[in-house]
Amino acid sequence: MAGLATVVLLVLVAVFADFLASRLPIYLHFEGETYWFPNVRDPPALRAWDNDRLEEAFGEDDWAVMPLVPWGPNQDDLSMGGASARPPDGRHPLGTDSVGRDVFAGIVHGTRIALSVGFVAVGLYVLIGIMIGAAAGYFGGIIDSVSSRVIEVMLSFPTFFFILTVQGLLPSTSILQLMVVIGLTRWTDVARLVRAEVLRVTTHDYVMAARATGATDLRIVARHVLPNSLGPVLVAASFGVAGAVLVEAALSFLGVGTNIVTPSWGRILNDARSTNYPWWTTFYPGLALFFTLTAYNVVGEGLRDAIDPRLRGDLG
Amino acid sequence: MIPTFFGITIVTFVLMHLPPGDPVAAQVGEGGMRASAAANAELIEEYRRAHFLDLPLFVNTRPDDMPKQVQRLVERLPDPERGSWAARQLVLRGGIILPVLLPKLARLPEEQRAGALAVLSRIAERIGATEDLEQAADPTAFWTGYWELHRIDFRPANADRLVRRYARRGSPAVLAELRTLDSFIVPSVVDALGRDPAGGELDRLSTLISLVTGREVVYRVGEPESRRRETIADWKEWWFKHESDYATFRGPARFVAMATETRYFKWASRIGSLSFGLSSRDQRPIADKLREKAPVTLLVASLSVFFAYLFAIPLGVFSAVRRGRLADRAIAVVLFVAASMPGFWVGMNLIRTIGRAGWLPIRGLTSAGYEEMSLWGKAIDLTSHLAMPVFCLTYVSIAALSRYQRVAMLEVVRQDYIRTARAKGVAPRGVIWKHAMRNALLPVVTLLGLQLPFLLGGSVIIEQLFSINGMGLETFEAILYRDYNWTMAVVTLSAVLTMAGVLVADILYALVDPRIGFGGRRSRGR
Repeated sequence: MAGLATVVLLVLVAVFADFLASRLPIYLHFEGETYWFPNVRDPPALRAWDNDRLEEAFGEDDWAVMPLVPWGPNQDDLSMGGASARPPDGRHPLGTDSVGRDVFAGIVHGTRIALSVGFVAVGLYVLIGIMIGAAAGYFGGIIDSVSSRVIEVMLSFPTFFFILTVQGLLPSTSILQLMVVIGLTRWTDVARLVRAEVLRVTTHDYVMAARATGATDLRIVARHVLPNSLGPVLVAASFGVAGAVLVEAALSFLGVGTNIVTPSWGRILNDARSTNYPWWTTFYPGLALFFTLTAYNVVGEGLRDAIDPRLRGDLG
Repeated sequence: MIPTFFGITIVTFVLMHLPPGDPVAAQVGEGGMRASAAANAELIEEYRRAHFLDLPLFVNTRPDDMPKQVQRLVERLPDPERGSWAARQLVLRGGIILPVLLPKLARLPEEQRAGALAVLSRIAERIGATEDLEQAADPTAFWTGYWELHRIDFRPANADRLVRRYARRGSPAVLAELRTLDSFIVPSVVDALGRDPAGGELDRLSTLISLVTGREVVYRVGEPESRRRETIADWKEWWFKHESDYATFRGPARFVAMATETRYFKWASRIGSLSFGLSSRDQRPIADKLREKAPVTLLVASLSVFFAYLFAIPLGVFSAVRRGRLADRAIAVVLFVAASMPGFWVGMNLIRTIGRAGWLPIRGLTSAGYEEMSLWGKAIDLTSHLAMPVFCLTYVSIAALSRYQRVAMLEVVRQDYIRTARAKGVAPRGVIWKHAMRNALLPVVTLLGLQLPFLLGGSVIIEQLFSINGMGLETFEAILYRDYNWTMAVVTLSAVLTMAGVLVADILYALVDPRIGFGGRRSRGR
């Protein structure tokens, strides 16, 4: 339950990242104009402004509702002079990185990146895996042997290493591309699971019964076989999200993950490494990463216990 | 195995062609600003050749060979713009074009013949025929006569024989004879280089081939062994790229060339020969670099595997024995938490605390002055350098392995033979460590083969973090530098090793468990 609660919390943080940390206020009354949610909409009239300067320029009846931390993830605070990482203080609750970007804002918005990479990449490869695995398991024959060969080949490549190579060789990096690369390289495990389950399920009587009533192949697979074979996939997907989040962070840490303007936990860690490891940029993003991985692993663990009670009793 | 290997080479091949756009323009463009357009065009052509971008991907319906190239270049000779370039290319080819050009010299159209004669007069200098040529009234007649006289010498068997004799003894008379054949001897010399010549022979062979190709890469007697290997590798690499400038595909060779003169085959044969060519970063043979870097990574990886098993097995057995009790739960939670901590983050925090306090070194595997230390000092130095990287790689594996061990143990203690052992009065300790653990060990030990991919991926980050100069760090830099040869070698090797690991795991399984056989049904769905 704690795992699920953490996952929900993470999703909320990701969705409301703009309300937790943003360059602009949530509500602003300024120079006679009223702005609703400039933090989300980023109106053109306020492009040149940020929370700090707005507050200085406030007149008599100007007022605003500020986000929790009044800094955006890519906004550099150079007000304190030269660019260097600054420790946590009243202005920046978790300090700044070496170019003056707020660490808290980076972590909050990094949640968004981490989770979206996790969900989209895993969603993509679960989809691919289910389609290929189901086709291989249900139809057998040449489809099965061809897809088994392909899976065998893909499994031979060490995953992280393979993804790193693809990301590194492609000329530019973006978050969408990273999702696709992870999705296209990691579907093999899901395909194998689905294939094995489909092979098991198709021998059951109710599939025979469906066939006897004249249902089409597509209907049998979609209505009878797949719903009964997706248990293990759910487990794999949950661990898979943790894996994808870790891959994203590790690649960004190496500098080949997402684009340099994308706030990501790995980017902050990378910054920490290049500036002799200040404790606030080293510790906090990793902590966020750690919580995310733990949460998804706990959820995966729980799902596995529910599906395969033989292994139960590990975590009480 | 074989189809899988084929698949691996295909995937790697596709991977290397992944960067969209014209890689030539990207690579040459960087340094091409000051060069003129013509020089740039030649640079691009050279680059395309070097990376086989002029070849089709999988099937070459019209393989290009030396005679075809010569014909094309001769036709281009009268062209005012590209003519001088074509002439230079022909002169560069040297004597090997004589058997193609001379027999049909008389039949060439007028303007082409003029160009060809100019080319031939340059080649005449190299084969020592200038004097005779100047005395001759009609150069065309001279060359036709020359060919009548010397065609008997322009036979591969003759060139082979002369090269072999010269390599063995180095007599000046043979050298003079070889000079008259000029670059016709290149295939023979390359052949001789392939037989791994010793220092003295290589000295003469490399001098010879440098002389006729105008490419100065020579080994001198007395230079170190590594230079000898590098020289041979360098010439092999050159031949790999320029074979079609010297070879003639005729008859069955033509059909073979349809498959071999393709980009895919060039890549695949590199993998098959395990030489992998030269690294484009420092022009060193990749095999040599692998020999130098792989032991570092393997040292870290094998230590990590060793410690992982050392801790994981007792932990797993212990928590299986204490199943459901506080100790079991505590271990499970601690290991679970540990497995969720990214290794590089733990490493960064270790560097920040232990490293900064000066307790353990944070860079490389050895300190400065390692060579002068005593044996004991070396051991201490190496251990202190290895401690943190090995720890970062190990603790994650401990969690997974001990889990497997625990499950296997729980499975085993339910078996009848354990009950039998208990019933006949074996002490509980003996039941656990002798009867149960031996059987429970098997599935965990067979996992050994599957540790490799994990460790390879981990080594990239950990070596980067601790500045360890091994395969991981080299690979990462190679990827950023677009050193395709190195990247391809490592990706393929890692895939092949993983495949081998899975195979070893399967075989171990079958060996230790008589219920699983090799024949008939596949046992594990792979």
